[in-house]
Amino acid sequence: MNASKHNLDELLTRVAEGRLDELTAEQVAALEVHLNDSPEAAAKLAERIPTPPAGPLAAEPAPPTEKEWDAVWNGIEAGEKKNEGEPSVAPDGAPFPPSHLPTFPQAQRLARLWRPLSALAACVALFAAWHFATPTASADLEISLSDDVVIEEMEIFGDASAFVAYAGDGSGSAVIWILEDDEEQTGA
Amino acid sequence: MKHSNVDNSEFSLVSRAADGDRDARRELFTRYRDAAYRVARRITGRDEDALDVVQDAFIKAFDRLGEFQHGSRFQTWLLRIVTNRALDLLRARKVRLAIPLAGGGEDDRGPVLADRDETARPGRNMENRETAERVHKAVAALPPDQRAAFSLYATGEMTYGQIAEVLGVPIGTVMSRLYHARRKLHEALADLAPSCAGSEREE
Repeated sequence: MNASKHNLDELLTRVAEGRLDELTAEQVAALEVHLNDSPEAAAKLAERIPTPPAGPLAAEPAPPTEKEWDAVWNGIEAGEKKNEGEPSVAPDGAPFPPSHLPTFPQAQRLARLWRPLSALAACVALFAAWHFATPTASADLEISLSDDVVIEEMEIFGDASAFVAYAGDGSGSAVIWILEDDEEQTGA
Repeated sequence: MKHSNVDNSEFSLVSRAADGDRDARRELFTRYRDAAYRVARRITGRDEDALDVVQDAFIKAFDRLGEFQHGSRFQTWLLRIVTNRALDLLRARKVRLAIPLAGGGEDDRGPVLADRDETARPGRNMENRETAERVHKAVAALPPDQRAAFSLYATGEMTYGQIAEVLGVPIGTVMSRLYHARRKLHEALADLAPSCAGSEREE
């Protein structure tokens, strides 16, 4: 893609004249880079209206009826009342609202809970293993519950965290637990 | 991007609406609801979804009028909210289709807008419906970013700069998305019209 400045200007003229479809994909890619890099070039196109679609693509959807618009307006007023008293979203400094409005479908919410749920499951599994496992290595090894657990060390590095805990009754039992970004590993 | 051609009546209207003036809000709604609907309808492909999007977008816009910068046109700002909301809905719909719920389906309609009066839309014969269905499918097959660009462009009244402002992307990117969208639509609908994507400017 080594289009000369002259060629790019010529391509830009064609687009401004509504002849965008005459360009090849490579020319469009080159012109895109040029437009995005050059405010002067972008200014030439900024006020132009692209050639509107023709044929069936130009067909406007049938407008809603007044009854439907009334229902929408009532919904807006009801929504506004609902919003009254609720804390507004803190402005992020951008001139427009954030692109992703804060409404997430259920599946997405579940996906976002994946990590804490996994950590909870690991916790339960560890507790169950500790509680029900039969000691095999040594008859002296005893697994028991403790209501006094001390976290001796805890570190968070990147997306992983680890801590070392021991039973506070002085029995010396220790648990080392590592949680990583992609997978959880536990060890006792 | 700032526009200096924001008319005084709009400035005053938006200011009053921001102060909670109900009449001013109603006037903004009446003035811009059609443009919002056309964009939402093209992105979502469904009447009911489009009305839901318009409703949500106006609620959001009125809630955040204090953040509106008068250097922009209200319509541009509103259409940005509409576009984002419609794209959110598309993403949600994709998830819903991937995980069908009992009793639910793609054609589920919201209770508020379910009683659409089809008799109010005369003149739709089978052929038109089939054509509309094909156009809808072709537009729906576009990637979301191209579909959003096409939906704004198809209003026939927005400049490259305004589309870029609504989408929050550079002008070159708008041009590129339009190019690829038109090309795909032209290929998909080539038999309907020789230049259904509007390849020539009539001047």
